[in-house]
Amino acid sequence: MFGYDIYYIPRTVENMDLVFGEDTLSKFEHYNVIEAYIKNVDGFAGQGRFMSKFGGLEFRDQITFTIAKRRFDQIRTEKVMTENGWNLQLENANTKVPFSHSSIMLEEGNVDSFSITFERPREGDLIYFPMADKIFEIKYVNYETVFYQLGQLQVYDLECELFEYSNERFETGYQPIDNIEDLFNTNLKNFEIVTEDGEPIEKEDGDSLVQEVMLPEAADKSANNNVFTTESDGVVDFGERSPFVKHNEHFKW
Amino acid sequence: MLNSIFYHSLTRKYVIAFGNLFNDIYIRRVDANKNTVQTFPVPIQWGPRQKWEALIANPPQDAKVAIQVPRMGFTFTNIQYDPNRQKSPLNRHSNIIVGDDYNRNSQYAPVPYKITAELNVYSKNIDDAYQIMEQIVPFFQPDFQQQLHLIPEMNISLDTKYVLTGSMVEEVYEGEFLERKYSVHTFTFEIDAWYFGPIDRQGVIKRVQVDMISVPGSGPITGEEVQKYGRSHRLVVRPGMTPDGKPTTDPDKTIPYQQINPEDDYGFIEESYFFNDGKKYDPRSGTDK
Repeated sequence: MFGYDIYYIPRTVENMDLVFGEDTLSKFEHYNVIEAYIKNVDGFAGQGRFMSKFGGLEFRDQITFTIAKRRFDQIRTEKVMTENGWNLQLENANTKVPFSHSSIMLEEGNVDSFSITFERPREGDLIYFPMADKIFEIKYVNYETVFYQLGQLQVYDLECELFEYSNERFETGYQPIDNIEDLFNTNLKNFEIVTEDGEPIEKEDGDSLVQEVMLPEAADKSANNNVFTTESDGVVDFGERSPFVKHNEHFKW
Repeated sequence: MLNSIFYHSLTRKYVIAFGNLFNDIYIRRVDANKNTVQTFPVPIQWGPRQKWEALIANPPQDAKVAIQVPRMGFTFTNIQYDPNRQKSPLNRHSNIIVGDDYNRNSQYAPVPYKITAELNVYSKNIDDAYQIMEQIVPFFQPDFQQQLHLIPEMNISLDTKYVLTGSMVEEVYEGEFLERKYSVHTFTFEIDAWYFGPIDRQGVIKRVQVDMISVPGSGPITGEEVQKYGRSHRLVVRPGMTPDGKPTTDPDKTIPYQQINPEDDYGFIEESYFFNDGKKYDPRSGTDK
């Protein structure tokens, strides 16, 4: 066996924008450990690492994990299984049809590691690859790579690319995964000055007080926002004509 | 040939000023009840960095994610002469030097150039990209002006105009599923820049010498005649002061005029010389040839 434990992290959609077809507030609250076969032989695929015009480096590593369809079903929810690890099927189950799930299930839960309430791996979910300590996003689930071997589809190929972090929230309870948010998050809400009760201290106008330490540079080593602020002291006349300064000073939550 | 070494870091100042315009843009994300859940600044960076510097800041082995988005980068793509703002090149600007009563700084008029700047916004979510776009474009109608301290030694501050000349939206979403879906907004600006020449130090004029030529005949004197005839009469005016600080007009009693300062009590020594040797004064060597 050449399997390796990876962490399947399902996406929790918080506020789906039906116009743009996206959810900017996605959360990642659970994880499931599953054995995977790493298809890449000579390292990561993809465009690799390069400088971009948007500032800093981009790491476009891609990887394909192969997981057993049966194992995904097992971690997804608790079912009645035989001694050999096979799920007991209902009489009307058609095992030749992909994603036909007529197993006899004990319960459908979303706690205690049975957090995956959907029938197949989903695009947009994440994979934490502990060996490389990297987070990958599932871009495409290819379920026909092993084409009806023995009359059934046996595996899922999870085609993944390194995750683009955009202030998503990680609350899985597993520190190596939640570290992603600790390292890269720049949400000012996380830098509010709070009372002993954990309540933010608000000003008269409803704004919250934020720690001065909160700079983009604190979480993004490529950012130069504060550099421009500092360097512009002797260059730019920050008079009342600058609407940008005014905007910042009166910024509302 | 131009015989001067100077550098005012003007392009660097335009980079700083331009980056400073966009370094306080924020993204706000709300839940279904319109409560703000996240507010975060959008990172901005000068794009053409040294690759080694970028790699040290973000070692590949530590890269847990591909990139942090949304983010902005900018660069200057063109610098071109702008004849519409050309001033007379003979104009000079002078400025006192703090702590130096005897000299002044002076500088010729700057030359106008247009700098083309490109601001690139990269975003994973369309809503983030539009939030950034909508925080930029209202301030440019189509221009925005800002006063920059360009030459501190000359106390020169000029209004600098940034003109938003174009914006391009690239939504990449078609193609295979393994390919990324992303938004790139590119804003193009023109910056009305000025480039200044060297600063000259102009001291106090303490000695004046006038050479005159005598040309036979009548009528206007031509340039050829000026070149042909040597000086015939020289008039020199300089300050005169005795070693005990009293004014004098006697050239034999005065100290060298270089040692006399404007606030001293000095007289004027006028000297007149006549020549018939056909020589001309050579300002480079300071002698008659």
